[in-house]
Amino acid sequence: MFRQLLLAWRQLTFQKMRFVVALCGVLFANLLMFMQFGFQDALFDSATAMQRHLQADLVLLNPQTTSIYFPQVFSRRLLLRLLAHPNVESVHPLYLGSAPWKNPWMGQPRMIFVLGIDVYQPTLALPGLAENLAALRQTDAGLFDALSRREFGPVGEHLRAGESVEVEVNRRRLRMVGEVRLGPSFAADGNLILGQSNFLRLFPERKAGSVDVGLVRLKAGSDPEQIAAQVQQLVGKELRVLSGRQFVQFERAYWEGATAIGFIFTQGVLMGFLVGFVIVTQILYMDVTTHLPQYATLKAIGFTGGYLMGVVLFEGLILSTIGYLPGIALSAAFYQWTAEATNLPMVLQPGRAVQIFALTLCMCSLAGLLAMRKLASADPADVF
Amino acid sequence: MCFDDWAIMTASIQARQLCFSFGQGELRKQILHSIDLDVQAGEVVLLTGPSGSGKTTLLSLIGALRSMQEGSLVVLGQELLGASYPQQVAIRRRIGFIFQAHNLLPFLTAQQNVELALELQPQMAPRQRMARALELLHLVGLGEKAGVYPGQLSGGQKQRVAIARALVGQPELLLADEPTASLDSQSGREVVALLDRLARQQHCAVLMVTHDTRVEDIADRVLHMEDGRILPPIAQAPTRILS
Repeated sequence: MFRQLLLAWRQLTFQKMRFVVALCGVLFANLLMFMQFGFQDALFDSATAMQRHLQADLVLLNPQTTSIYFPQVFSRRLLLRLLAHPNVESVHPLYLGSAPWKNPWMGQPRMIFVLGIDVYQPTLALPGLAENLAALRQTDAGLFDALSRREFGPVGEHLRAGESVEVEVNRRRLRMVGEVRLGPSFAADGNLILGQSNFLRLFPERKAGSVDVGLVRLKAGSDPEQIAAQVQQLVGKELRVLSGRQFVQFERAYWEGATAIGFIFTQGVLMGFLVGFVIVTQILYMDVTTHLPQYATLKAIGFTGGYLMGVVLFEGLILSTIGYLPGIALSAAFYQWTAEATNLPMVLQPGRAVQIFALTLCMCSLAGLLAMRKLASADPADVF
Repeated sequence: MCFDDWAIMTASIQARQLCFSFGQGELRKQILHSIDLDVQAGEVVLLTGPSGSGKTTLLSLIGALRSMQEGSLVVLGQELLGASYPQQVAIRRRIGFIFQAHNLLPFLTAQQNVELALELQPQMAPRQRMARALELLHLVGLGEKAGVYPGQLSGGQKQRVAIARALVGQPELLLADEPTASLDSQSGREVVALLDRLARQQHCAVLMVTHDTRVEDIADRVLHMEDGRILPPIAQAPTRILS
């Protein structure tokens, strides 16, 4: 085993340039796969960021709502009816909408995602929300998402400098009273948090009786999934009842299944895999082809085909392992770069790192297997 | 082992009515016709003849590099007719091979190339292998070049490394196919003399195919092949000059 590994190592590293090219192939494939997976995870994570910050045990939706970014309203009376259930502690409507935000410095309008929350019991655990809750109760006050894209203007800098920031949103003048941290998603470039009454003033066509999302808090010790099933029977087909965890899955399932996104990124990963596979196959195949007489000689002096196949397989394993290390390092740098440029949650998850290493091993082993087929044509009888 | 007295008396190669053909059906062409051949342990035998006479095919059959078709061929006590792949590989490991092309691995140094052949003897410790490989390189006069890659060696030097590789495992039989073909007459002569000397030291039988009449004098016997047959000896064995 060790001798085969040593032989593989010597063969690979004899021509330094070729070794570097092969490693670059693995590195490039790794980078592609990491970025594709990273974008996909960032997409799902960002699309479900708000849901994960909700402090609701149950979430009610219009059954026609497929994603909270495109909500259908339902009657608040349905939500209030739930208070009759013995396990329900409180219910809170959540209003959602999109409005043009006119960048106060550039004058350029851009759509911002607006959340109208309960200013007394926000049921949303966003960093920065609790300390600004009192200010949010003022007329036409808003909280700006500090992680929103830069195009919305340097709101945070001016706020921290103690200046007042007034913005025209949906042709109404709003005053920013503080910042929260939520983050943009692929559907929303920025977020704006308002109290319910300010939300209804901003969108005159919206009515207090039509809510987008219903949030329910249960009494301590209740099992959300169990109560969800009971409540679902109470409201029948008029509402979709989800537990907090199911709500996150619901949103994720939309982006995964109902859009082309999951497919596109999976295809991107496949592309990375193929690029790496082709480069490594090329290198290993060339190695075997150029050394065919030598391999045939080794067979003639008594080495088995299996021994030599082991050498080729080890070459693949060495390439995948050594190529992976700079691959993950460079990917980490790219993740950080992307996160800084887009404010998307690009996080290098250990599970993904393991998965991509497994894919890399698989890629190089497959390349090795292809090269081995060539090895079979090394006939010791041809050496004489 | 080759050092035992009984082994010296035993035949290394014994072929009886050996026939071999290439191709199938209409295209079938018989290469070897009823070959009878005996090579005793420790004997140095040269095989000559025009190209296409079947020398190389016979050599590859004896080396268990090809499967037998007809007749009987016993090499180092093993019948090769119907031998399985593991049996073939086992026989190959007891034979030293020297090829027309040296076929050294370019990415291994001279010493590593010689050492590689010792990997087939798993009972040997790595340190022993290194020492043994170095010893053989000294024997072929390349002790100084142990750490050099084949790309930096001359043709004669490479062939000497190949000889060291063939002999390092103490084979009982050495098969050589025109080892001097790519060398000038001076180094060709040196290589064959070296081969002969080392083989005799190890009591190893040698069967060497060659066109090179300049080296015939070192053999115990010269066999001549034509059209797939071994011709009856016309002249008696030449007297040995080198020993």
